[in-house]
Amino acid sequence: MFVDARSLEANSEVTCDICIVGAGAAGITIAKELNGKPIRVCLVESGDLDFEQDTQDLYDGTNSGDRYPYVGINRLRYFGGTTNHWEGACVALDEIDFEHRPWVEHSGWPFNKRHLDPYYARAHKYLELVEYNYDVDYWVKKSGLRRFPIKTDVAHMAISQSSPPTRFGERYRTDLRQSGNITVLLNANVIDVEAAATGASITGLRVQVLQGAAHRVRARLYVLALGGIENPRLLLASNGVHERGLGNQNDLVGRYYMDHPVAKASIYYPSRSPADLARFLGPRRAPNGVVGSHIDLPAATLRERQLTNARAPFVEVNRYYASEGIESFHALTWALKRGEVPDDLWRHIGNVATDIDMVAEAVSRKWFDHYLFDSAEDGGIYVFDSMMEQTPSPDNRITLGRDRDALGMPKVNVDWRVTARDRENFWRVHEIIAREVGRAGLGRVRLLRDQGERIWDELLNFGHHHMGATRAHRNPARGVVDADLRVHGLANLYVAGSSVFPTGGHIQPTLTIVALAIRLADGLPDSLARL
Amino acid sequence: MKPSRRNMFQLFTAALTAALPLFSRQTLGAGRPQSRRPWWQSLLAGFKHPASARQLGTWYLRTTPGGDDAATLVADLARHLCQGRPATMAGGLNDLPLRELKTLFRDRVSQDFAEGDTVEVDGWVLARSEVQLCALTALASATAGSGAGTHPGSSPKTAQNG
Repeated sequence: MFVDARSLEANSEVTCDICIVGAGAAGITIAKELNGKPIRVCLVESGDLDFEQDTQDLYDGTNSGDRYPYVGINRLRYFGGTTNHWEGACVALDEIDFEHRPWVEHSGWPFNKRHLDPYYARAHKYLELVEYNYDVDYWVKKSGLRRFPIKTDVAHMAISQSSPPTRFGERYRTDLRQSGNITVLLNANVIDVEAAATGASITGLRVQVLQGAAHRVRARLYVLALGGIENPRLLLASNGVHERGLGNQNDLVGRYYMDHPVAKASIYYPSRSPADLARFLGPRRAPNGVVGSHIDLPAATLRERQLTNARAPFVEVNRYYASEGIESFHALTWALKRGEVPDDLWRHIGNVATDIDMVAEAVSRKWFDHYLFDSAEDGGIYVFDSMMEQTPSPDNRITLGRDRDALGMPKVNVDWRVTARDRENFWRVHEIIAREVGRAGLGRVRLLRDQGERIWDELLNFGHHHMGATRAHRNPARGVVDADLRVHGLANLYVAGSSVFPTGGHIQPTLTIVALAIRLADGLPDSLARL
Repeated sequence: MKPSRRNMFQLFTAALTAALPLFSRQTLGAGRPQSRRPWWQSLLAGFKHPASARQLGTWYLRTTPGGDDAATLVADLARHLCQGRPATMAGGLNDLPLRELKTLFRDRVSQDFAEGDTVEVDGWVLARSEVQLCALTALASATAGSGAGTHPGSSPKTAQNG
């Protein structure tokens, strides 16, 4: 059943057994898992069934630290959450991602990959993927994808799958609407999670309709599934009893925030023809699904060389992207801004002169928003578009700012940086892949180190994957939630979503979010019975 | 104008990586022991685009202190090629049929990459062997340009003395 909170009388009280806050991938999955069980469930969603700007504006916030995308744009605040615009790439975390790796500070999940495997398999159905199988040989045989001939102990080809992508809000709307035990409360913004005077449990949620009435939801058990930024925001803002916020007795809520830095930092010049290479490039249609491939590093390499995890899909780019003239033009302007003369001044001038059409194209695009030459779109050049794991750092942090949103909630500030070690790790991964490409006689790789600062300051891209700010750890001194994803010190409050990831690997997080949500849902009836 | 990196690399890798057919059988007498040229000059002759190799070699020489001695480069490259193949070393690279020399070089390049024995030249991650060969090209060109009239190190001794 769907209920619009705007239609409720002021100060209404909604009661249920389990209240899930947030109807994105995690929240809808948990609700679906509880569908048909003898448990009254309320799924509370800030937005409506469609996008509304006023509601979206509640995500407004600020950034500090390194360049980072504005936090208001990369997630969606309405029924279905960010699955309303996700791209659909899915991979499971590697076994090594779950381990404590002495060379990766603060690494280690409270359980291993084998424990999560059955949930990954079930998550595949939610995400409309093919079977839970990421074996390269299997997919080479089944999909026609060609094996990129790098298979050594050092680097290898790996498989990813593509969801259609499943839009949870559309795909599962009817199931939830027809459910006998689930109420979906729309346009209901949770602005406070109220703790008992003892501070040991949650007694209710204060709900506010945008420019409307206030209500309250009371449940026996609560699950926050608001996303990687809003989960810590709501915990920090809920400070009626615990002055520093819920679950924050050890000053951990909001810390260890991670994303996936993404950068095209090396160019691959293949010794193969474009037609031949095209067979390595996913995605390729397999029976009932789509698979793609990338290069990554096996656990042995990560261990031996003490690296964080990373992947390197190679993608075709156009002449504009790979233009040496534009590259040199940037090097020259970069140096001039600093009042310096760049190294290789004449080389840069020569590159600009010989590639003047692309330089003109760049100027035209940037200053006049106008495309000049069709030849800028010519392909045949490849780059390694790497996505890397970020070492968890307590200094990468979500905090509450002084500004408030339309509901009076403090806005967030995201202080996010890439450490020098992670930057160095990034280049080392590219070096390894460059050597493997050379060893296999597949061509050569040029690392764009001479653009180093520009890559981090201007060109860096992001996974827009918000992870880690309510991290899981068995020890309350090192994590916000325990292995069951229950907030340490609170009997009936749980957290779902990527904010519980202690580390993020190099993968898109949605498959793991859904797997963890299923695992959490499996345990909720027993947890409820124990209360 | 200097060749672009893209062109340079395509030609360079064509010569060295995918490459073996680019060594002219007619010129170098593939399959027969070569007698007229020193072994490394035979390899140099395989560059389809010597300007690209020279440029890479020049970058390498500029950033490698003391690396601009042709005799040392030749000796070092010879040792490197024969690593783990004492019989080849004893027999002398000059006596190898070109086909075997090419195979030896290709295997060495691959082995360099496998062992991480690479050099980064202007961002290119290259095998040490191929970079040394580029450096020899650059040195040969520089010597020719200076009016010496012969490639440096047509024997290591000559290069040393010249």
